Amino acid sequence: MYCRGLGASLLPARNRTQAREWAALQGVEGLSVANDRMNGRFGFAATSRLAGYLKLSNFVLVTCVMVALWFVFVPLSALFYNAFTEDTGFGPGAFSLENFIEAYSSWQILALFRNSLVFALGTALTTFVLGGLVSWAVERTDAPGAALFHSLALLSFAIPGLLMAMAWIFVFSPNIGWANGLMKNAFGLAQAPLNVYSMPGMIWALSSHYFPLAYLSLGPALRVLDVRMEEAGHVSGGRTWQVLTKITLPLLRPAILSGMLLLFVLGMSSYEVPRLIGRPARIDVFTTDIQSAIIQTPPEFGVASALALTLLLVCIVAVFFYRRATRHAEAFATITGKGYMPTRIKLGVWRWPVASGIGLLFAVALGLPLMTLVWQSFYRNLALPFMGSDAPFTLDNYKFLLSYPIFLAAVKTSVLLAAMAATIVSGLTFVMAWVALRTMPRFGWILDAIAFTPIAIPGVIVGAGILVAYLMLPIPVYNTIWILLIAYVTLYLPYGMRFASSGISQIHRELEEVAEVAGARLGQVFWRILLPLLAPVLLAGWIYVFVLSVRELGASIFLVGPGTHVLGTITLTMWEEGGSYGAVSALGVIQVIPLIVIVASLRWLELHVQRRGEATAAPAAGAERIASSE
Amino acid sequence: MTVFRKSTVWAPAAGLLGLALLGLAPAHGQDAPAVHPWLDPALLAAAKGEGSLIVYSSTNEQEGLPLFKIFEEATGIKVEYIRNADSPLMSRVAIEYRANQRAWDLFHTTTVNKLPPPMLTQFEVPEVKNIAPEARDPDKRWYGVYANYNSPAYNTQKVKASDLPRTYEEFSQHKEWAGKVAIDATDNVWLKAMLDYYGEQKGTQIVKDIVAGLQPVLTDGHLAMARAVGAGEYAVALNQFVNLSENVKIAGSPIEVFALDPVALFFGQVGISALAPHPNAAKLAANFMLSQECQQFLAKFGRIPTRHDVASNPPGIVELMQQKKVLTTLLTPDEERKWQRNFDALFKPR
Repeated sequence: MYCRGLGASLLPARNRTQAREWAALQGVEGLSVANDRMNGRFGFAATSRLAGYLKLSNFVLVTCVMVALWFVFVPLSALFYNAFTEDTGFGPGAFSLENFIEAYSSWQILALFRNSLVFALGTALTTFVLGGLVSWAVERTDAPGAALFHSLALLSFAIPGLLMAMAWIFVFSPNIGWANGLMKNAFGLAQAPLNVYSMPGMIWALSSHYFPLAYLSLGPALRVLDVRMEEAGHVSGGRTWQVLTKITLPLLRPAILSGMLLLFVLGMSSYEVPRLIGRPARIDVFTTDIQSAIIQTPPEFGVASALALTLLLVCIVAVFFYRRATRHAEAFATITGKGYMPTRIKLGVWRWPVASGIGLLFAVALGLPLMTLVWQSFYRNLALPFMGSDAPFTLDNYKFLLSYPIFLAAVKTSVLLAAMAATIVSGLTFVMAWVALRTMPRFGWILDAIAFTPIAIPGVIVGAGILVAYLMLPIPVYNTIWILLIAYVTLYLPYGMRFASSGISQIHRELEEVAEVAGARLGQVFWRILLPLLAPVLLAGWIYVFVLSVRELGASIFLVGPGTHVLGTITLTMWEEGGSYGAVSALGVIQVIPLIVIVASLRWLELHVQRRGEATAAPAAGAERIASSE
Repeated sequence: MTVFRKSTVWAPAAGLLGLALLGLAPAHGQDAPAVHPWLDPALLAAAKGEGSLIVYSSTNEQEGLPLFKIFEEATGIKVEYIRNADSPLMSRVAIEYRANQRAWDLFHTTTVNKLPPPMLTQFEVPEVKNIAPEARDPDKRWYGVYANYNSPAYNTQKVKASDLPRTYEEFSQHKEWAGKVAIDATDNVWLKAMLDYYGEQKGTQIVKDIVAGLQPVLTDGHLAMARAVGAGEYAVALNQFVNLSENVKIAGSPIEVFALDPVALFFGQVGISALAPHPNAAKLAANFMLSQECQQFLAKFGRIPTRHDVASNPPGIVELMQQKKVLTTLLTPDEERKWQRNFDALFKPR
């Protein structure tokens, strides 16, 4: 059995008899076998626990938490300092509530908040449905094309938000949208049938961009869901929908709520779609006002911070309710000492229809905007698919980009930074989530909420806060790649935390208790039990943070220094200062290419890890059979 | 930021001047003059002693890097170039100033005049006398490198030239443009010029009529709006930076500017940090930016020169604007906040 193999069999035993007795009491199969396989020093769990507090592993653990808290503290203090001091335009002044008066004195703020809620909830639900369907088909069924869908799900992510929104305008604008043009011609309509400049248009544009997140969040949970629990439901006479609603969905609750929470907050803090689609439609949301304050010259950080505090409050409340809804962590653990066997539902004749449905979903959500961008990238000015154009086909946009000063250096810097940020975020949040869930079950939500706060702080405020802090502190990171790395880790801690938190929720603590009884040190528990079991979730989180880091902009604009230009700042330059539609489209297309390579490599790694896990599990299962025959 | 690596030119100043006198100075482009009149010998000597120059600019790298490569090749001074949008650059220099960080030498954006005076050094260089008087700060802390005229633009496939309004008052009569007129959500300079020209009461009423009759779409970013007008997403831009309309037109889009009273004008400016680590190199670079050579280079990208001896691209655009009442409109940060509030109140009635 997979779990048994990874868990107990790899542990060195300290007290074989004690472990065997404990295992018998707990009914943990295979532990005795595992202990029989272990040859190690003997000791007592109680004393090892006491001694454990003084060990290096605990020191590392505390250090990780402190480092993460420091990362959060810097922008958070900048946010509060800006919000509660006079905004002089060139830095904070004396204590003042003026920013709050300016930010909240109009009834319009309620309309903004209402729009934001509708937009965020609509996006979270739509994204969840899209991502859920893909997750189910890829992870739980034998529908063909799973590997392809897995890779495609991540592609839309690589396209910068501004360009994705631009692509949807080219598809569904009532004036120039090519899909509308085709429908008008086909059906003889006088008016465009669809209008992207609307609330449904905004929700769709953002959902099509973010649904990979729902997939990344739900996919690993579905992958490790023990199908025998569902089978037990069926054997007990439950209908399919009853099994779904009473067993499957409740078991997935941490992953579902974690994903929904993230998507909701992302919807609340999203800026690109409201900027390009919402503003022309006069559908202003909360972030529209924040951004309006930020783009003033000089920026009104005080007002922006006062507004952002509401976002922060929403995030903290959301985390609190998430933790309440998942407080009985053991109930959601699908990875236990009893082992599990991931199996797929056999769809039979429905294999191809299901695959076709998912393919259609991708064709619409990803294919339409991506095709539009690719098409546009071969023309200088507006040239839309199927609409005819006299303009010549050209590779000039790509030549322009590749010859653009600093472009290749920026690609290199961005990829390097993103890989480092993703690795650090995954590691830190892995530790933090464990601490929050295992060592402080009652107040762990506070740690969770703290790690989540950067999501509510606009990137530019994070960047400005970090710049201030590290100009004052004697830490020589100013104008280096390291200050960007600090910013990226800070910005993406919330995402890593959500992945790690929902992943650990699914691992029953009995596995760690087994290890502890068997004499494993904390480091070994992390390295040999939790890490292998959490690998799919951590890998998903790594990919997500990597992609976000590659196109990060808000903080980077304050922190780029000699030789540290990044892709995000070049995208902004293209958008703001020169560069035709063709050039900005080509930039979006080019950003997809490294992601394809990276996603393919990681998929290979993931499969490699899975196969290795299964190979490890096989001897354990064999050993178990031997044990039971003794 | 980009560091120009030394390529071939660490030539001694005397040698370079000698070559220049012989008309053999290295050419930096087809239109580059054979000599560099801006290369003041005294400044050059002092600047070379400092060795390098740090530029903060909102001009894209495609223009900015080749431009300063000319400077680097002519002087042998290494240039580090950081490009960013106006707004974050303003914040960045403020943060660095408060930390007493000697981070930059030259500041080149449209917002130099909005920096607090103590952050900028007072200076005067020889080329100042050749730029338009309105492009010179009386306090000598900044000078205009290129002109940003504000004027409407239209899509020539959506609107006939004969249908264009002749005044802003006539705009609101074009009900057929309702929802197809765009304006950038930060065009507070244009609003101030309107109210200065028409008077507060009449100007406000004209804008209110336009908002009520045409329901202008508020956009984010002037270049994005210029592209959208060129693409036909909007028929008319109520206000636009002329150089951006021209930029999109040069790229082949059916967009054309037209001039109405008033034409608001501000500048892409250059200023020098009071904490400049390389003050002489900064002065030499400022002299270069006000020179004929630099402005000819920028005109290739549609930037409108502040010198009378440099032709605009396309020719005649300055003359077109000058036929109307041009109001130089430079706002302080406080004024800008006030006028942005006025703009929001008129265009986003709550």
